[in-house]
Amino acid sequence: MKQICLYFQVHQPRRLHPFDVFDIGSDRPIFDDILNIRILHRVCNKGYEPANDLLMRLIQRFGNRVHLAFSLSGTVMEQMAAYKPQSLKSFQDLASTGCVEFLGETYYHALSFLLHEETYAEEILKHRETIQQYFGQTPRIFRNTELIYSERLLPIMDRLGFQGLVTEGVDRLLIGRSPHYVFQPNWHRDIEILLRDYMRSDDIAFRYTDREWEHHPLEVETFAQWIDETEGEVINIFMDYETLGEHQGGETGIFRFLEDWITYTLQENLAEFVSPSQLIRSNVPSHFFTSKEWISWADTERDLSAWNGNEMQQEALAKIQELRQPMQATSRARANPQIWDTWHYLTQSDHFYYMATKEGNDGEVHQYFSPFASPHAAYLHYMNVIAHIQHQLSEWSCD
Amino acid sequence: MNPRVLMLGWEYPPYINGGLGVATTGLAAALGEMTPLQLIVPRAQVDLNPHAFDLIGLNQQKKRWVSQKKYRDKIIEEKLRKVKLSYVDVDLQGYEIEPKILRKPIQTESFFTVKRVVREAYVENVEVVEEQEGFQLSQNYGKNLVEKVTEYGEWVREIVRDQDFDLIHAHDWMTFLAGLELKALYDKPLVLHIHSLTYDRQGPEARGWVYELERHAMSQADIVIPVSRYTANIITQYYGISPHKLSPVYNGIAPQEPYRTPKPFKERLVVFLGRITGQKGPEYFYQAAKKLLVRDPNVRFVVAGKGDLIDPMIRQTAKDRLGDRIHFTGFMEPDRVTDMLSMADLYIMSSVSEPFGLSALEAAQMDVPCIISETSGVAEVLPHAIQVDYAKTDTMARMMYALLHDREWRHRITQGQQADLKHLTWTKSAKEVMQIYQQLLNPNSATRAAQPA
Repeated sequence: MKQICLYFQVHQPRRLHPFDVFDIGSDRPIFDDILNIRILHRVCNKGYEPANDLLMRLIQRFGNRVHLAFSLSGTVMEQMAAYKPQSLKSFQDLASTGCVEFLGETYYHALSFLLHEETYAEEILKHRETIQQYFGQTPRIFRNTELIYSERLLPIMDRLGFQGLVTEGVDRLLIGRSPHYVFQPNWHRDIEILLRDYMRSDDIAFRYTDREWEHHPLEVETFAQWIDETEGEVINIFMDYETLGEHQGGETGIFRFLEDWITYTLQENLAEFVSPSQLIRSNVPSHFFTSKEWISWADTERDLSAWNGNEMQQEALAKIQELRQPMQATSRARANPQIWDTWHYLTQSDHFYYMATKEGNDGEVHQYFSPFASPHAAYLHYMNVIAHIQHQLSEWSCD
Repeated sequence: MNPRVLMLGWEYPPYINGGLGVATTGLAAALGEMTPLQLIVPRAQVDLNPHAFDLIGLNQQKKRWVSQKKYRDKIIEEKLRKVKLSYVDVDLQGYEIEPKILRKPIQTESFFTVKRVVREAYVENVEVVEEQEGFQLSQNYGKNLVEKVTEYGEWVREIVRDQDFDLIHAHDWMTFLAGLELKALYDKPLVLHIHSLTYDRQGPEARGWVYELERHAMSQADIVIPVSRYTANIITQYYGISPHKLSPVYNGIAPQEPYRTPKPFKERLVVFLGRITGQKGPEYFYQAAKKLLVRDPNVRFVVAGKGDLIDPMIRQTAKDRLGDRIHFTGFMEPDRVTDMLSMADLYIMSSVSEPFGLSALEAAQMDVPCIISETSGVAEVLPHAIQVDYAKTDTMARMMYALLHDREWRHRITQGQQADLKHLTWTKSAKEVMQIYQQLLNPNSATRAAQPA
């Protein structure tokens, strides 16, 4: 029987406050937590909570036949704990069913793997502790920020004891092979790779509401049939959890569709829903998935260009990386957890995503998420914050 | 007797893009104290007008087309007596308008010929009543500018119909069509005030219908008032207008006591203020800033304003890894500009061609030492500021360094600038304009038009 692995990414960034040049050196807040709370409430009410209710109903009805996975960034857990505890509780209720697996990632949904390896490991461990604290599980499968992956991550995966990781089923690396198997990077690594089926995932995440799409409105039977006809045994459907209710509002019928499809699949015995760990246990890796380059699930390019494709993103990344050195060198900064916290939040991939200057559909998606009017504005405010911290550091080093 | 002035303007606070709105208001306010003046602008909140002149915002008007027989007849009479048809040898493609008051379609050719046919149509047509909501202008210089400039002329003609005046004073090309038409209709002297030309905005080689309009209007005008000798020279050299028709009057500035505000950061602050567009030479400022940063990293640069070059400049800044030193703010409200100047250590105006340059005066008022481009009008009235060739960015960077580090010199310059400013009031500008009016209306009795000192 086919195995379907559903994994939902749950993340809310800590967005920046507009920060202009005359805020440099002032005591103005860097993060717009009022905006962040507002968006969190909207997303929880429209998306997370009704979606969690739906999954809970399915688990209560079908018991062990429904397994799935979540990955929650540290930021979203922190925001829910502080401002929307009942949403966090609904994730905890799901965790207590034993049917939900929680994946590992960086606490800050960060690009730290590009910046500083040790920091990257620390952020993953901080996230692991938070998952343990809230959900009583230790993540065994890793999900890097935005499914970014290259073999360069493998040593650290080994070191931190992950058994598997999820990433994008990128065509140019599959070279005609099907993504519907369990992969491994090479003979020497004891880690397994699950690849996202972007066709089936995006049927739900993007095309479901596209009126121009020939299959609109998508029927449960049609979708189930596509999966049934798929070559291979493993279908990984990975998407942002905000797809449900937020990007595609409840009025589109997205919740109904998901519930009906899972119900139909189980009633007709077409497939089983399994967690990533179950997949790895029940399958022997049968193919290699080799990626020396960086891949991701973002944009048409499926590479890092969503975050470092233009000069502005490159400078912002270079400057946040350079900041570490004076932060280490200044005794007052070294001992100041707040400035380090800020630094980590500034490595969130989201800030760089807003600075992308891509055109077409990809550009629209970037702009949809951005709290700023343009990529240039996102960059300017970010750089002002960088300058603000530089300024703080130079004040401290003069003391 | 004091002349009744019909003034035509385009920018008016709070809808201002640059110096034009500030200068129109400053001059009208001072002139309004001396003579009856009505200013017609596309957009204004008239009930908030604190000045002595009569302000009409077309956004708040209703346009009435011919509505009464009697009225129509009067117009026809006047027309028969006064209308002189002027064909203009310009290319006005893409400039056709739909005549609003005709029932039967007419052949539209150029803007000017359409106007003629429309006037004749008053004679032929029966009652046509059309009321229209106020003039709509969402941006001073939007994509539909040509259409809006044309429409402005139609509105002005309707508003002015009931009124009597002695002369027309029009500010910049957007109002020149209206000015030309009123001159033709009522046979009153036309004064053109030049704040900016195609030459400045697009370079010496630029031609096109705005240039043609500027040239034609200046050739038809009775007198032309450029805001500087610099601009007067351009008008004679590039527009072929006789210098005898030109009578430069410098802008004034509303008084402002200097004050200082502490900066939140410790680096020195160098500001560029203006539209981020080729005319203002922001890239020369940028090059000089880059050179200065090599020598002195303790400087922050602020580029305040918006424009077509802002995004490319931001990307260049990122490429050069200077995004934490060179800061772009976008458009800045006037009060915030003053606040910024109260923190600034240096003001740079690197314009390629600047008819005047009011913002340099604002900086000087706030005791900020100024480095200004030689190719500017303000260089004529602010002799104590440092003048540079905008293209010589090495020199500019050296001057910046020296001015930032030599306290004594800074002090001398700011003192000198304050002395320069004493001559620059709107009352003084208005008095000179009054003399120009007098000479125009009584050519025999008045003295020659005043030349700025």
